Amino acid sequence: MLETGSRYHKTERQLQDELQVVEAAKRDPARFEPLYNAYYEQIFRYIHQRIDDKDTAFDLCSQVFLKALTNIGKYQFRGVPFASWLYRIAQNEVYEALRSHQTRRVVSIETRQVSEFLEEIEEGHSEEMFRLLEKVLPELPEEDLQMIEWRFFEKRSFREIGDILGITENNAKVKGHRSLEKLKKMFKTYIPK
Amino acid sequence: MKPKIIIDREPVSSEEIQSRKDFRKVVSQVALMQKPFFKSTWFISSAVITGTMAAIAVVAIFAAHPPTEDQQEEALISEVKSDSIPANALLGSGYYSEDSPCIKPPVPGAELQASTYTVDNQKGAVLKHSTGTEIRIPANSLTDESGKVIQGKAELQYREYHTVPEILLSGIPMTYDSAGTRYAFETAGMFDIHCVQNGKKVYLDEKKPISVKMQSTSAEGRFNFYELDTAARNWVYLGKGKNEAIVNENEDVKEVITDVKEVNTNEEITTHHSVQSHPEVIKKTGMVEQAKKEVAKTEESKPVEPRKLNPDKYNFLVNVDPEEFPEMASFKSTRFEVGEESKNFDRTWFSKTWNDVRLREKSKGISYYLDLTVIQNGKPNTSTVVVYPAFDGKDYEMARKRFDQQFTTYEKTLSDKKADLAKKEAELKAEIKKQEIEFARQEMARKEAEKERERIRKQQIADANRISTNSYGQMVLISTGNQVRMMAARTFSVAKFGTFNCDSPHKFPSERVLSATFSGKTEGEEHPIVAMETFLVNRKTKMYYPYSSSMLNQFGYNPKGDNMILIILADGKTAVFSAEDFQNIPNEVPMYHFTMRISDAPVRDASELEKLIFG
Repeated sequence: MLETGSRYHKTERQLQDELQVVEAAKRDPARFEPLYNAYYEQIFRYIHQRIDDKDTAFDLCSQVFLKALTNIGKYQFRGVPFASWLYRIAQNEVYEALRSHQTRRVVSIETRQVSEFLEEIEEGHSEEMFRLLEKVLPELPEEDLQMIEWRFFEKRSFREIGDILGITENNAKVKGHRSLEKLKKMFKTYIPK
Repeated sequence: MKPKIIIDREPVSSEEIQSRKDFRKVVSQVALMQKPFFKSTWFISSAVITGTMAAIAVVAIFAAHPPTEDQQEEALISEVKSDSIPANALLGSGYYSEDSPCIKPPVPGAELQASTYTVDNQKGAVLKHSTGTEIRIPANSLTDESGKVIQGKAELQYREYHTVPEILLSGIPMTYDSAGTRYAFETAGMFDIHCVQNGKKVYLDEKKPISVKMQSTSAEGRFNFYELDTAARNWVYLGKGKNEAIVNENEDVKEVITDVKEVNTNEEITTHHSVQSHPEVIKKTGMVEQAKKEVAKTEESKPVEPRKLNPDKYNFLVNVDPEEFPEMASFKSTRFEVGEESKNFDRTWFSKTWNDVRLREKSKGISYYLDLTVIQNGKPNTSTVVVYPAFDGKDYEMARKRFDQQFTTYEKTLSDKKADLAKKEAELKAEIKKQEIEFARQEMARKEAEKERERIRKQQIADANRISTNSYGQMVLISTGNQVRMMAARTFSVAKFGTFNCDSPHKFPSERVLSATFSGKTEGEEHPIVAMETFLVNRKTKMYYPYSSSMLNQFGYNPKGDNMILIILADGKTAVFSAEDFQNIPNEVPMYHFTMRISDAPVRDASELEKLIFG
């Protein structure tokens, strides 16, 4: 699983440099190539985490960049990295593919991440809990599942999540907290008293 | 269907991901998604009609103006093969154009058509274009890609632009970027020239340049000669052409004025003209600005003296992300001392469990904000203290040593940058002085030429019939504007084929600047407009300023100008914000929504656009 960490965040100068490339791409699609090269792998992995078929993930990834390039003229800089816009397109593409039954939604996790996550929600790591998490996660509403994936499995900061969702960092924190609470509550319903 | 949980899924390797990248494919798909304008039914039928009309027009022109004896006797003039080759249409194998990525006519098919001349390379040629321009091609000057002289005949394609509509419909970029500043071009004539043989591109031997004596709409000396660099999408300054005012030649009427009432159209432009707009001055100003930035950037990077950890102060041990804070990347761990100004700090914080800890830069390398967040009752509660990075033991020694090295390098770099700045400032000063002398000389010449033009203008008013039947009647016929005036012949030496312009750069207007948004109105209904470029036209100066979509938040115009806004939509229709509408824009508004009037039908040629802009 890809842990994006701080790769997303950029200094003011990096943001300005990136913006210059975006503006050039608005005038000439060929100038989009640096952005394509910079973000292709990230976007592919983001999609591949969520669907069960590799080839479909590659197709959707191409579709994301095609849509980005087609609509680059509409892109408006809001002081956040360009990647957040690409992730939003990718998110829509994944949902569209799921809606049309092209592929199946999956949640890809590593064992190590499960352990960390269970500790985070103070449930302790055991084989039983491991199995329980496998059972509970698919029951979560998509919005909450997405939040758990972003925050705990992909280690994205609330700032980045906020940028992708188009909300403030604090709002993202609140949403993250609510999703976690929902998951904990579901856990409790499964754990025998 | 519920999501499936996959534990420890086999990752896709970076190599595989990289191997599946195909940017060209994405670009080609974008191109396919755009509507192929030239395939539309109306376009094809219009093209057929236009072609027929052009053929009739050529016959009519020849009937009305049969070649003179001089023309027939001109041994080197080649036959005019066709006058109706669409410019960038790549019809058949004959037409070559490599400019399509850079030159994009907004309404394909509406741009001026290129004239094709057949040239025997072994004989050379002197071509007379319909505008009066003379092109001299030396013998054996045409080569193939390897530089080998081609044998036999080749087809030379030539087009010339003079008016705002002609240039606008050409799709040739009319802005000039110099040192990060964007300028719009005022033209005194522009042309493109290409050559093919059997569908293959033909090159020019640089040692045997073509001479183009172009008829120009202005005799002023402030215009420079530029070549369009289609790869860099910018104009390259080539110098000044040889300028000859037509009025100085011996023939009876060389200046063609079709509207004698229009006299001083260049007045406003002339007042804009200054030494500062000379390309060399612009270039050197840019170099000075760049050098200043370099000095400022170096000063900003002044290394910060490391702080030794004070055992009497509270501190936090934070594992810093080296990507986010590269200045602390060399240290295993950095301690952050709580600043005395953080009165809210409470030592019990050390025993609390925080949900989120975040470091923000206050002053790079010197001080930071430490945000400690706890979620209480579902809501985040953040406490912030100012902290100072401080080092202990070996970390301090390392930091001190590193600082000493960096400071030595910093002082040397700063000294070099300042010396470079001083040198560039001196060069700029010298260039300004040189240009001031040159412009003073040109100004005198311009005033002399102006006097002469005024004399001729009066003569023409007195002899209107002579003007209407002068030998340049054909030129009037083909020109799209009622105010096209050929004032001078400018001779340029062209060492390779391409697009060339006789121009003067102007800054974009900034008398009033606002954030602009647009929508279109047809039959009383408003709808959004998506425009690649928005043209602000100053009808008085006959200048236009192309604003890309990213520039619209800084849309500038001169409220004293005779302004209009023109957008050419993807379907070829026009959207116009008229000069009268401009009067309704309130003063000092930071933003304005322009409601544009959309035409019923696509624009078909430059004459239609001329009517739309100038009435």
